This record gives sequence, C-alpha cells and structure tokens, in this order.
Amino acid sequence: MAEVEYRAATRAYPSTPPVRAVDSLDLEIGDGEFLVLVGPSGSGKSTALRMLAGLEDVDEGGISIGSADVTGTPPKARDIAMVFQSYALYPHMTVGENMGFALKLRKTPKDVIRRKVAEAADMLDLREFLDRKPRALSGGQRQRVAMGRAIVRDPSVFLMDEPLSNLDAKLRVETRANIAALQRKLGTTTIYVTHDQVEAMTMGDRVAVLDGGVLQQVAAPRELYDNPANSFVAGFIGSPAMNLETVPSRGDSVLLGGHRVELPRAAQAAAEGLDEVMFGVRPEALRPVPAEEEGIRMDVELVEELGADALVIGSVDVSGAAKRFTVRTDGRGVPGAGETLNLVLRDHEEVHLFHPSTGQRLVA
Amino acid sequence: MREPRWFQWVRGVGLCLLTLFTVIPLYVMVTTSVKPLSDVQDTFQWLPSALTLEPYVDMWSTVRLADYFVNSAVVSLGAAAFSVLIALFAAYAISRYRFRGRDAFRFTVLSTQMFPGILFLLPLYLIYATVGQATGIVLQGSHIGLIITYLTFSLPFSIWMLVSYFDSIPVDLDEAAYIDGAGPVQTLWRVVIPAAKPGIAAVSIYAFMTAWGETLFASIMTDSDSTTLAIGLRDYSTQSTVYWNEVMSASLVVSIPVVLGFLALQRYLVQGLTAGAVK
Repeated sequence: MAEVEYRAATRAYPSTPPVRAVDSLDLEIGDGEFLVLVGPSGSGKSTALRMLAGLEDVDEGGISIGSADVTGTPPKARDIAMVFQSYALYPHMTVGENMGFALKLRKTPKDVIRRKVAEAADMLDLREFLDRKPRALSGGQRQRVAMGRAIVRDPSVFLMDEPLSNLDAKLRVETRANIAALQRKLGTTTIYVTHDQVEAMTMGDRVAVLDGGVLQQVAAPRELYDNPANSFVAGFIGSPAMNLETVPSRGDSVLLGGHRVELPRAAQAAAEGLDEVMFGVRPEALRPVPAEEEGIRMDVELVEELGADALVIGSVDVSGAAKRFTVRTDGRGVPGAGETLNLVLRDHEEVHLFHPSTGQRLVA
Repeated sequence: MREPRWFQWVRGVGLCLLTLFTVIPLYVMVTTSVKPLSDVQDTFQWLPSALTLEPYVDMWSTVRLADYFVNSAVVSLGAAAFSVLIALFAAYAISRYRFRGRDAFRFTVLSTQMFPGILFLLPLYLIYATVGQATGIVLQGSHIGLIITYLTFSLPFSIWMLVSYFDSIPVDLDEAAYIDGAGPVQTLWRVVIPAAKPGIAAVSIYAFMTAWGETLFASIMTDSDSTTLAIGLRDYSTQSTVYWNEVMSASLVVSIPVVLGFLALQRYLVQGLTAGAVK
C-alpha cells in the first residue's frame, strides 16, 4: 500500500504542434484511497493511468509511488497490478496459471503460489474454474479472473482501466459494488478509470474529472455534485445533466423563460458587471407550480417515466432561442407532452453560476 | 430460396470433373508403383497386368534414395527451423515497435516476393563461389548453402505471415505481461509465442514444404553428396530404361513426411491462415 503522486506529469505525443494528451497533471492519491479518474473519451484519463503503470512515457514532470520516484522505471519495478478493459487474460494459460503468472515470474515457491491463487479464487468465487482456459468462461467470470490476477500479486497500487465496460448493465451494477467492497476490504490504493459518471460517483472516495488532458476538479463525489468548479464539471457530473445556459443578467437576477430568477445574495456580488452569466440548475432543483403562479415557462416535449419519479423534458425560452431543459418531478401526476409548465426553484440557493467566457464558478 | 434443378446438375457435374482431374494423377501414381517393370516400358496401361511390391524394395537400391532422403530432411528441417526462429524476432519487432525505417523494411521484405526465383540463381551462385574462394567456406554444394538459399525466399514470406498473426494478438497481452513482471524477451517467449502457436505452425509447414519440393536451386546448388529427393528422383531415368514404377513408388514415399506433417499441424494451419478474419 502506498500513496501516489503526479507532479506536473505531462504526456505529449510528437506532432506539430505536440498533442498534450495529459497536461501538467498534479494529483495526490492517499494511502488506501479509491480515486476515480473520469472524463469523456480523449480526456487523457487512460493515458494518465498508463503513465502511472509505466506503459506510457512521462515527457515532463514526474510520478512517485510511495516514497520512490518511478518516472522512467519499467512497469515491473513499480509494484502495481492492472485490470485491463479487455481483461488481457493469457489465452493459453488456465485461470489458475493466469492468476499465478506474476508470482511465477518472481520465482515464488509453487506451494505459496497455489495457496495465494486459492485464496483469491475463494474471494472471487472462481474456485471451480481454476483449471479452465479463459475462452471457456463467461464475460463476468473473465472479469473476475482479471481482478484475481491483480489481487494475487498483493501490489501497492491497483490500476483499473474501465474494467466494467464489457459487461451487461445488470452485471455491471453488481460488479461495481463487489469491486468497491473488495477494495475497502483489502485497503489497497486504487486508481480507477471510467467514462461513466455514475461509476465515478458511486465508487470513488474522491473523483478527478479530466477534460482535454487537463485536470478540472478533484473532490469527493458530493462536493463535485454540489460545487462543480467550472461549467464542464457541472455539465459532466450528474445524470440527467444539469440544465446549463448562458442567460442575460441584471446583476441581481437573470431572465429565463420569461421569468426573472432572483440570484442568491452571494452570487449577486459575483455577477456584478456581467451582462450575461452561465446559469445552471439541476433537474431536481426545479419544481412545477400551478398555472396561475408565476415561473419559468417550459413547453413540455417529452416525459420519461422512471417509476419513482419522472423526467420532464421541454423547451425554455433563453434570449429568444428555445433551449432544452430537464426537470425531475414526482412519478405521479406527470404532465403530458404539449402542456406548458411554470417552474420555480425549490431552494433559491440551489443555482450554479459560471463565468460566460471562462466557465469558472462565480460563487465559492 | 431453393436452387433450381439445372444448377444442382451443373454443379454436380462440374465438381465430378474437378475431382477426376485431381484423382487421376494420384491413381496413375499408385497403380504404376505396383506394376512390374514390363508394364511401364511400352504404351501406357490403365490397369496393372500383375501386382507387385518390388518397386518399393528395389527403389532403395536403384538410386541412393536413403542418402537423398537424409539430405532433404536436413535441408528442409534446417530451413524451416531458421525461418521460424528469425521470423519470430523480426515479426515481433515489426508488429510491436515503432522504429525508423520500419515501413521501408516491411516493403523491402515484401518486394523480394515479386521477383522470380531464377533471377537470384546466378547472383547467388556467384556469391557462393566468391565466398568459397575468399574464405574457404564451402557454400556451393553444401547443406548449409542450400539452407541459406531456401531462407532467402521462405523467410520474407514467413515474416509477413507472422507479422499479421502478431498484429491479431492484442497488445494488451504484452502489457499485462510487463505489469506482471516480465521483460521483453520473457513476454515474447511466455506470452506472445504460445498465443501465436497456430501462426508459427503455419510458417514452419510453409518453410518446410517450400524446401522439400524445390528443384530449380537444388539442381544447381547441390553436388552428388548433397542431392535432395526432388533432384534424386531423376536418377531413375537411365540411358537404357526409365524405372517408372520405382519413380512412382519413390514419389509416394517422399510425399509421406509432408502429408504427415500437414495432418499433424492442419488444425493450426487453418487457424493460422484465417487469423484476423474474425475477432
């Protein structure tokens, strides 16, 4: 077990101009922490993980694991284990041989290997499959073998590169919980890459959001959800996504759907002097009110009933253009398509304001 | 949709003709090999007048068939072994590493396949003669000389075949091995090569068969001590007689190793040739 540190770590692919797949990444991961790297495709999250694994060069800056600077050392000298998206099981070896391969390379005595493989197999319900080849396993079983191969090593850091993306939806949810539980039990520092923000929110002690190779924000899931540092994080974290539009501002209020939405006092100072602001409100922070009360007018286009609640999707007038908004409402008594809703904020503190050009959060 | 009746007929007749075309030479070969010598000296007869196994006994004494057998085995196995060994490392490098001149090298390797073998005959002969004069190493007429000759054309194709096979093995496997603690050579040896067995089998059969049946270079590059089977079969034709029955029995026996090898490895060969076609 060990802490991990990225110090202005950069990966630049040669081209003109060089593509900075990971750009000056500064990140500290605590001993035993479960950190999730999340971002859209091309955000550099996998590259950042591969840099830590030693599979990708570090062109500037450095990386350390524990107290050792590992920048430039080969993967085998880093004491890490990795679970690949494709699982990368050795096709010619049995499940048991796959899991024991790393120990065999380290010339561990055979009986020790057998014991450790058996322990890991018990933990992952793989006992009966130890003599099978990977091709005779289901997707979920293969995934567990890949996990087992990492556990047997007893490494100081686990690296996981989208380990659930090849599983079907139900198995993914199940395995998600299993991995999180296993990590708590083993207490091994884990870096987990995913593009799925639900995985990120549910699994990580902290979540690091990347975009375009640049770290946007790193925080606990709740903090990320409540206080996104910029408009990218605000739009990326949360499902359905936050309603986020640039709207005209008067300093103390903004104009949205024919309605003046008063800004919280703290925000008023920050929005001072701006003609417009980027205004964000989560779908569950809006509430429909009876037609006679004043509110943000939304023309309902589509209703997605989820059972306990429903998502009402419609268009709202923003400076003369129709913009799509989503509202989460109670599952009973939902409006129909074509109706017009008046919306108000559940709590007028629950708005997010960002600078219209930089996208940075306006209120701390 | 059902096929029309006339199409079924045309297909049936076509396939029968094709089968006859392949089977008749085999029939002639097998029947001739059990005919007495008198049957094969005049006009061709479809049926033997008597059956005899004598050609299978006599063929070993009429010419030095056993010696030729050994020569062919040494040269073919040598060519196959070196082909596989060299191609493994070359193909792995091309498949996994990005280095300056990689594409040029790939193309050069491929381009050697575009020239007819006879173009290389004279230059190779001259090189062997010059090397022999300068260093005293006898290449012309020796086993090693013939092995090198065969490598010049089996190696490029072997490299190409293995490159495409290695390309079909995900790089994730190599990376998983690195992380498990293997170095580049261990990764190649313990992970990539076992996963590439079908490709390697295909390459070794190819290299072996090319060498086993080759006549052009063997007819020039061998002397009486290093004559291979394909050339040695000509010895059954003497000034007075052609021992056709022994030619055929010897030809059958000569084919056996290739057929056996093919059968043993055919499972891999089919996989090897179709690798990469599907995921």
